[in-house]
Amino acid sequence: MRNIKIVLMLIASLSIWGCMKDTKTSQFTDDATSSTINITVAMPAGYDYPVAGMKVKLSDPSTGLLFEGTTNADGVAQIRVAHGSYTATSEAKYSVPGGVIYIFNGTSNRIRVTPTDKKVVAANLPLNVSKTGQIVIKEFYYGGCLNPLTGKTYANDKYIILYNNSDAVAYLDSLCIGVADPYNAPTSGKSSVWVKPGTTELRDSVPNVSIGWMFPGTGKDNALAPGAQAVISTNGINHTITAPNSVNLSITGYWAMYDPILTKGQSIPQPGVKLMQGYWKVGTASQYTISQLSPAVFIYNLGGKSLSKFILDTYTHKPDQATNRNFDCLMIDKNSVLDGVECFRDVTDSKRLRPEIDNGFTKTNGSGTGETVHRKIDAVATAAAGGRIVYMDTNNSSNDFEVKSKPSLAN
Amino acid sequence: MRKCKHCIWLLVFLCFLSVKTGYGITVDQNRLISVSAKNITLNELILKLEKETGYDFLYNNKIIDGNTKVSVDMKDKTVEEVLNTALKNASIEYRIVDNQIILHPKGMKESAPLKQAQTKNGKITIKGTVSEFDSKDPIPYAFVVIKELNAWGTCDNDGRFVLENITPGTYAMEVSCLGYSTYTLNVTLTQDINSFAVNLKSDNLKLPDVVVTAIAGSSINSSSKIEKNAIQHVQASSLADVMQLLPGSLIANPSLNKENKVTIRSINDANDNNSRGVGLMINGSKMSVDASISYDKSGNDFFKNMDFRKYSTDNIESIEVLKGVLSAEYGDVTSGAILVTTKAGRTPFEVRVKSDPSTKAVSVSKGFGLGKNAGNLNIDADYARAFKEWISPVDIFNRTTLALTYSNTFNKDKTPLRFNVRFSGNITKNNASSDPDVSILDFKKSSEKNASLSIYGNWLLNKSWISSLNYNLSGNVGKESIQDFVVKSGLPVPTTDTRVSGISLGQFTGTLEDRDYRSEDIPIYASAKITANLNKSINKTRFKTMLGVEFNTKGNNGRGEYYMSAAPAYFRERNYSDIPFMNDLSLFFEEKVTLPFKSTTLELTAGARLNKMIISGYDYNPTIDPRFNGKYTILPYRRDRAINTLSIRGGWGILQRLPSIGLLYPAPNYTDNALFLYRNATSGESLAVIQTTVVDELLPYNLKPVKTRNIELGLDIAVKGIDAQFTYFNEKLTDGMSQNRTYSSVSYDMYNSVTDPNAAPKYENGKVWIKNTLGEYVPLSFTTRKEFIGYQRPDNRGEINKWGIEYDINFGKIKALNTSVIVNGSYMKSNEQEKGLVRYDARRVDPVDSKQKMPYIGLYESDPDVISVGNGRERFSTSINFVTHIPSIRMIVSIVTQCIWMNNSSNLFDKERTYKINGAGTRYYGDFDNQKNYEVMYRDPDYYMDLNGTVRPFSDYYTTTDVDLKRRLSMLILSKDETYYFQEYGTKPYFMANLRITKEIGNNAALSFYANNFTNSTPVMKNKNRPDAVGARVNTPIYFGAEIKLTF
Repeated sequence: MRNIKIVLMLIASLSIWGCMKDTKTSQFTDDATSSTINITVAMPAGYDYPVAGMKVKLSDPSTGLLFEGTTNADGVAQIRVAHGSYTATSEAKYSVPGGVIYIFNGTSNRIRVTPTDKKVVAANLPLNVSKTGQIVIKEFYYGGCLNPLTGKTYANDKYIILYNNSDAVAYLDSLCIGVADPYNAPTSGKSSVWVKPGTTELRDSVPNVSIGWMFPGTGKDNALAPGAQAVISTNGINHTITAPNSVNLSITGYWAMYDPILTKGQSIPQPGVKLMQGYWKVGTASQYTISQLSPAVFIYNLGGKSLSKFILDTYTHKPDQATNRNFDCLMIDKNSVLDGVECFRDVTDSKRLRPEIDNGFTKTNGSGTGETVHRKIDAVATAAAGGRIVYMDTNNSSNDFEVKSKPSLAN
Repeated sequence: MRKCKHCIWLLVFLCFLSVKTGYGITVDQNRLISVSAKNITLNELILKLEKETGYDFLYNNKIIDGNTKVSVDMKDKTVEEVLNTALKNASIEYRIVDNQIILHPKGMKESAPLKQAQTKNGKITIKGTVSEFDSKDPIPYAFVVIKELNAWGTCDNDGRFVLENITPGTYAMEVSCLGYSTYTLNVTLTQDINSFAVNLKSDNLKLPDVVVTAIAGSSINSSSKIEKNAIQHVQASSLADVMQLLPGSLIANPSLNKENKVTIRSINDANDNNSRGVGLMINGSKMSVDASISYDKSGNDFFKNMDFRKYSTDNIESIEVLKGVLSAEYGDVTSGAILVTTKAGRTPFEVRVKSDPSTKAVSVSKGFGLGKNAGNLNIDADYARAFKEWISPVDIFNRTTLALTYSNTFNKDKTPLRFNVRFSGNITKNNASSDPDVSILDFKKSSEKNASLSIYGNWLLNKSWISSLNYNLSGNVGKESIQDFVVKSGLPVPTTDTRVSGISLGQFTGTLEDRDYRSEDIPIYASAKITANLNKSINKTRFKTMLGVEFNTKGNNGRGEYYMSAAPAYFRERNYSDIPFMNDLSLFFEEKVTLPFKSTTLELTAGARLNKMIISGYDYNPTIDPRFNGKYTILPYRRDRAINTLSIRGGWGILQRLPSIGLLYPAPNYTDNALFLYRNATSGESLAVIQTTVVDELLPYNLKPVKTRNIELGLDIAVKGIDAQFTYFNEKLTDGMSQNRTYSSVSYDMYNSVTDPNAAPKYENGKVWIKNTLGEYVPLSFTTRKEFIGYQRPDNRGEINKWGIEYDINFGKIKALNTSVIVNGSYMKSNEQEKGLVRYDARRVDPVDSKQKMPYIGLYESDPDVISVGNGRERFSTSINFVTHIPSIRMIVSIVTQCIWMNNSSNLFDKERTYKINGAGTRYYGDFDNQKNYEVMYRDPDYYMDLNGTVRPFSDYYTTTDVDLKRRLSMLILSKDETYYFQEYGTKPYFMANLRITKEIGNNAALSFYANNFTNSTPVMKNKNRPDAVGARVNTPIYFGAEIKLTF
């Protein structure tokens, strides 16, 4: 009797082992669930800096996976990735005598690797070139805070801080601030309508919507010393009286984007706060609109043109609004843009600023949280500058910016 | 048992036995009966036979003794055979005439009817009694009326009634009493009747015929009558829910959490001109909201609409909805009138408890008899509470209603006077607070209190120059309060509350304030209406003359809108009691002629209503509304003919609806513009120089009443028991209420901004001065700019062109299933437009100079925003009602299937003004309607106006060489780039089924249940012209409720 039991158990285990042989372990190898992407990095025309040894990042925002690789001597990086849909980015910085620093960065189109695609996929990553600027956007506070006295969001206290990141005096005269169209970043992977026809590549100029703001002055009236900052707000008053965890924007020397005719709905700033000049407006709004969720702010100059010629040359109708004149924009050429910050609400939003201006994005946790986006300090450059704070500027806000839980101007 | 006293032969010729008799057994000569009785009296035999067969027995009790003993013992024989046997030995013969068996002594022939003998001056007197069918107890205060003559009488405590001065003829006689089924009888009266006995059956589901749908009313113009059983079966939470029984109306879920507007014969009343034209009359007293000035500003309305939520249905006896060309006695209505009659009379205690997912309601009512000849007192009370969402108690609606009605009839013997006094009050409250997770402090409350007193009735005078007098005196006082509390943290903005034009110094608002908004309306209404009726007959023609006078006054004594503490910028109070009362006086006359012609009858009414508005500040000419109606009965009702009845009717008339006082006295308009602002929060210095322009004037024109010209044509036909009514209506509404704007221009000196903290600006001698660097005051420079200021004014541009066909077919009862099939519905087509020029300034920035606004405004035809000039709707719907009524278990089940075959909407196309631009840049016109348009479509304004008020044709845009002018005018052109814009939006047909059940449990309780859309059919229907676009869900969501009614 016992023998039969042992024999039966042996037969049973043999048959189970045989069944297991049929399970498709081959489907779960590393090889079967991944592919290789070969990225070829190319310098823009006219620039022959080396493409070897550049770090290439592949990121898939929907899964959150991030892979890195380095280019070889030919500028090709071979990176093994899990299946998904990736965007490749890369950047490099080279300084030349004279204090000019060239920044090369680029973002590729979406590279898709699925089980049905080829095992090895090739993609190109052309780089764009831009220069670091003297004046950068140091902080952008746009979401508003929670007012404990009312229980509701208070968002009248938006501001932008500009900073002189170089070692020479900068002049704000004729420098302009603008907000890109659309006010909120396009969601769900749809691209902005301001793309080159037939592609998903953004145009070579940035659409400035609603009002055009310019620093007044004849050339040297508004100086900004190295390491100094300028605060520009929509309402230049002391907001802490109304909302205790807000900021005081009524300090003498600050700026306000206020015009008694163009922005009737905004508060008249405290005397001592300087006024920006509103040189152009479209639409019927009585306040300057900066989105609380996902704005894209940038600074630019007029490129040497007079105001009226500039407006005439750049005035454009919005592509999908053949009939609504409230969305007409001024198209600012990318070479006139000195700096820009793209803020997203979701990681899957689409960009409005070209890679040369901002190759990434930054995001807070929502409106009414009191959070702000602030540039990170570049420790190396700060030490080299002997104590004058130098902020990171690689024209990529994913790297350059961090989220702070309260505005820097708040107590 | 009919006993004829005082020796007369009564020839009551029954034309037809109305379906509503209290008898319920159809007479069949061949019905087999069994009688076994020995030595019973003749009376007892007659009683038995009447019960079994339904025949009425008549004999002259002076000649025949009712106590004669008879014996009969027969099984399964016809009534004739039974009578032959029973009466053989009593020497009595009988004769069967229709539903009557007339007994006479053997050998005696019927004598000729004595026509003139017992009449007084050719007029007839009818005396009789009204008793309960089962117990034979007399019913006091039962109401007997001869409808065509409006000759009425009420029973005394012993159930006896007298009708006098009746002209001989054929009439419809109706006997009714609260709690009993109404008994209608067609009679031909030639002589006095001294003992007309009527038995009424209790009104409950044991009756074989209970009506739970709307039926045709009794006026010549189309009307629908909804009786108490139908109102209870539909389980309404407010009066608006009852309207879904009308043919052509769609079923909607009851909702006490939003405004309940009522429209009559309308698909989509975009500008509220139809709902405004619905008149609600409770016992003849008109309910109005014309004196309410505050309205819900969150929507598109610019006047207050009547909210039917405040009217509960528990104390309603019957509702009649009049449509088409109303009689001249109804004024100030254009769409139709809802006549509500409340309960007056003795009733048992009735408690009704109602519940559905968002509403709980309870009501109690009782009618007390106050004693012999002291009349009746009816008390009704109702309470309802509704939640918008079950899970969150943030939006709650409450309604409390109380009504007391005293009714009595005085001077019954000579000239009876029906006298009613009704006091009713209601309180509705609506509380909505913000989601407590977002903001604990904000809330909104609104409440309406209302008290009304009306005295009404009818006085039967029966004189040669006046037959009866109707009177109605009513007064109504209400209080509507709204409170909207918001804790606001905002920016300091300039404000002033000056009420004169000119430059003044204002101040700045605070940044953290409690805004406690209140609004108080105290509308007051009073009206008096007296109508005199005279009925005459010449040969066979009947003349009914009506002459009346009506006076209405309305006004508002409220404080208006105000803030308890902090007010928003530029807010000014306006006391409503400054507005004068609005009065109107009407005289109306109507003549109704009924001409019998061989076997047909022609009824014609012609009337007119003269109305004069009396309001201080305006001078209105009197207006006249003529109204004509006619009905030709080609084949009067005969049950045995293939076509049972056929009649055609028609009408033409003009109706008007007066404007409300809020529109006639618009609030003063204040336009404020800050010329110079300076605010130093730390030192406290502030200067706000504000220029105000005030426009406080009456409208420079008379705002006309809304007018509608209605035409109706109807056909009533009954074929083999299938009863059908078809009505074609064509209504053209003109001078509807619409909004327009008036513009003028004002010049402003806009000062430059000052940012120097040491400037210490001041305003002196009409100029602003600031300190320069030396500390001296110098004038501040400014730029003069001219700008448009505009304000809203109502005008009469609304127009609705509508026609349709309503049908109501009753297929009768399928006996085997105890089910009646009723099919009703309508086809309607309407176009709504606001014709005429609209001025509009979009307040755009000038494209040439950003510092100023556009110096031109456009004058557009009909609509300043979109390229279509109105909207068109079309709907074809049918309601199929299957009503299963089982009297033995006292239950009614009705399944209503609503079929919407067609529900189209479209944008109206203006052929002369809409154009496209071709490749070469020139305009081309064409018929772009009903097609896909792949190019952008444009519509220009007709004119444009500049800051000086000069109006020029828009063709300047095409002819001018001025580049700036062209650039500016191009901003005024309207455009649209939607391919499907002028295509009709329509879907395939869709259906919905609703279920309603009422079951009586014993004599004391009734349980009702309803389920709307019980199959939960909410299909996603796609637009036929855009099959690839996302569809929309149709049909109401599934909804159900139950109700229990206790009677004791």
